[in-house]
Amino acid sequence: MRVSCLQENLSRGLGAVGRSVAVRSTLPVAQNILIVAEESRLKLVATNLEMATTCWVGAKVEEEGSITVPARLVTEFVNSLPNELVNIEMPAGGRTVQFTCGRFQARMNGIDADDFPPVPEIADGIGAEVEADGLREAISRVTMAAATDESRPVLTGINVEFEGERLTLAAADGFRLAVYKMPLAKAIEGKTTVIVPARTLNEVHRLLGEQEEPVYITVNEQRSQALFRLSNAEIVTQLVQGTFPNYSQVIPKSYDTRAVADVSEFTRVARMGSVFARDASNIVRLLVTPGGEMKPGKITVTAQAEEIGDNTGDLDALVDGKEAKIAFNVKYLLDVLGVVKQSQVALEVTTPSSPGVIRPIGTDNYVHVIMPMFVQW
Amino acid sequence: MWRTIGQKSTVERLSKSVADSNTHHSYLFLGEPHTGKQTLAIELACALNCENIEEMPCRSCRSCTRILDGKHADLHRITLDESGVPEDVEVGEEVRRQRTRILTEQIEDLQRASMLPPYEGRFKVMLIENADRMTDAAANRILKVLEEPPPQVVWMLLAENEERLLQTVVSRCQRIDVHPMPPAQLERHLVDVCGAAPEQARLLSRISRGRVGWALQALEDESIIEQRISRVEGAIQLLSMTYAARFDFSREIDALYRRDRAAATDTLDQWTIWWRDLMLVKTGCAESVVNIDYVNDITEQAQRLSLEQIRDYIGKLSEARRDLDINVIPRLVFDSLVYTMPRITRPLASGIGLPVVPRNKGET
Ligand SMILES: [Zn+2]
Repeated sequence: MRVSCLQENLSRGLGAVGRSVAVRSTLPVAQNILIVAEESRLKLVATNLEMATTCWVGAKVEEEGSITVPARLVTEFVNSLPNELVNIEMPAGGRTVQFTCGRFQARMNGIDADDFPPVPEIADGIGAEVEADGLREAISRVTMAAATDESRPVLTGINVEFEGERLTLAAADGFRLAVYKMPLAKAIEGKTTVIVPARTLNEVHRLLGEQEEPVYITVNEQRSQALFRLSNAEIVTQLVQGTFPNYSQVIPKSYDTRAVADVSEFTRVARMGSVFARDASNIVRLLVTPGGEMKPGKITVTAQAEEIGDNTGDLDALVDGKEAKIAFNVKYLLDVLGVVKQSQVALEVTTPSSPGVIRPIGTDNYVHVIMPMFVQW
Repeated sequence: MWRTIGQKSTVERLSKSVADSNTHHSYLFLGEPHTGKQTLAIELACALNCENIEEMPCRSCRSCTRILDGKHADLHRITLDESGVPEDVEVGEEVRRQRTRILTEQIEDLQRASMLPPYEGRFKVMLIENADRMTDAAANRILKVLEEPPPQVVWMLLAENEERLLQTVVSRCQRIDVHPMPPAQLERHLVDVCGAAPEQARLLSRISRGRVGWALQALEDESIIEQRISRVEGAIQLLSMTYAARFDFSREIDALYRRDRAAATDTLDQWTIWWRDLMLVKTGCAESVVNIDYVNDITEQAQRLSLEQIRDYIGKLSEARRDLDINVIPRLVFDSLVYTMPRITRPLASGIGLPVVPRNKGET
């Protein structure tokens, strides 16, 4: 193998695949990055057996070849180099790769490329095309609601439903539910539902960067693997097997009180409450008061901490319906307020013991449900 | 082709279930160490993923070779971490626990992986060695997984001791008993298939106690036999040692235990076998002794000990094994073992029975 490419490009490529490297694995080769010199480019691949990321870097290939090298070692070394041409050389049949850049040089012992787990090929199945912008927004609005606790594995994934002209992403961890709907660039036939690990979608989001070109998604026939094709990388992911709970019944059909408020104000008041709620299981109480003749309605946010005292803050709101109370884990409230792009949201409440709903104003593509905390009022 | 030997009916049954696509989602391989549980489990993993429909496992297709080489992405394997800790390092309680138990975190890693479909093969295989060493929490976690088995995942639990497993775990698994081979059958196999010399085969079949894996390893690797000799001789000499020398011995074995747990427990096993041999001779069953190359020493020692002494000490040995399992401080266990061992004051006649048969592979 004899190939050269710019340090900057190589570093970017290694950074792209770096998060797919296995952290701990019974398969030592999964802690390596596969480097393939082919045609006029360098292919970099990493896999943790849950997702496999492939990325291509422009290069001058004088002699084709492939090898795997320890991910951390190669990444740290390349990142420390000046932005000049990096030469990568390995004698045919060898296992020691030599990196040369200016007066820097390193030799690394690799593992045969044949030992590297093959990236699953996804040829048949359903294919879909989505706008990068929409996908970025969809991912950022749902993944925080996925479970991080592994005891119910399906909840660590995002339920992704392709139907007709629509793509729906949903995540739930038992305490909250986030559902985002977006159009598909081209309608597909029928309906396909898969569960994508949240980690994979976060990685898709990271790699999307500023990409403007559409993203192509392919799900294989067996619904076991999916491919996300971005303009600079491909991610193949294993799909969580199992059935996602039927979440539509969790979304309240109606409300008794609806308060429309400014997102930045709501965030400010909630954040203040969170400081005081830290020692009180993160609980904040929300009191929604309708406005009168001359005064506006408001949302009052109260946090009670035994040690340091209470905090009350309020903000103006356009309230429809009667007075209402609900208590939330303030972290969940801040999570949703933090991802809404619109300037206003509606808070919909029925009783203190039924779920609260937050929807952005001006669009109906996003619903966020938060389970209430039970407190003494 | 299945290479597992001595488990004909089991292999036939597994082979048929693979051919009929009728495999179970979880198997429990039960048997003594080195009886071939792991070989059988790995072969089943090959068969489940073999690309050669004519003969599963073919042991030569891409999938089989990757599994056999430990490179397949769908073989997930956990075991006790028995790797050594340098002798002078004080090992904390936490580390000691890790080295004697399969932990919940390890099971959780597998559980996570099991929710995702196979990466390159047809089935994901979750192989848990020393499954009888799971903590209670880990056992309960695995139980939950076995209650709702994900598709395309086959769990293989390997264990020596059924009593140490949760009954509910046992009942969820297809149980596969892996028995030691009758010594005569193993002896024939060693001569006919492995090309061992007859005397060597006779000795190995006996001292391996029918455990195929051990016999095959010993045939390949002379150091195993050398090690066994030094352990057996340790057992012989201890009986006539002074108490001071015995406590030195205890310190050594304690150090070994910290460095290489398996080696230390094997030493204890050798003692147990030695004392069982003493009992066999004492009760007139000399033809069944394991250490056939030390019959003279066994006979001589047996003459000087009472049956009661022998029986008591065998009890002490099995207690010691249990104590080590529950993490009693090892030094205390070893000290008590060397202290309670009966003492023969008169020096023994020298000479160690039959000479050890040299390795003689491939000469037939
Ligand atoms: Zn095969």
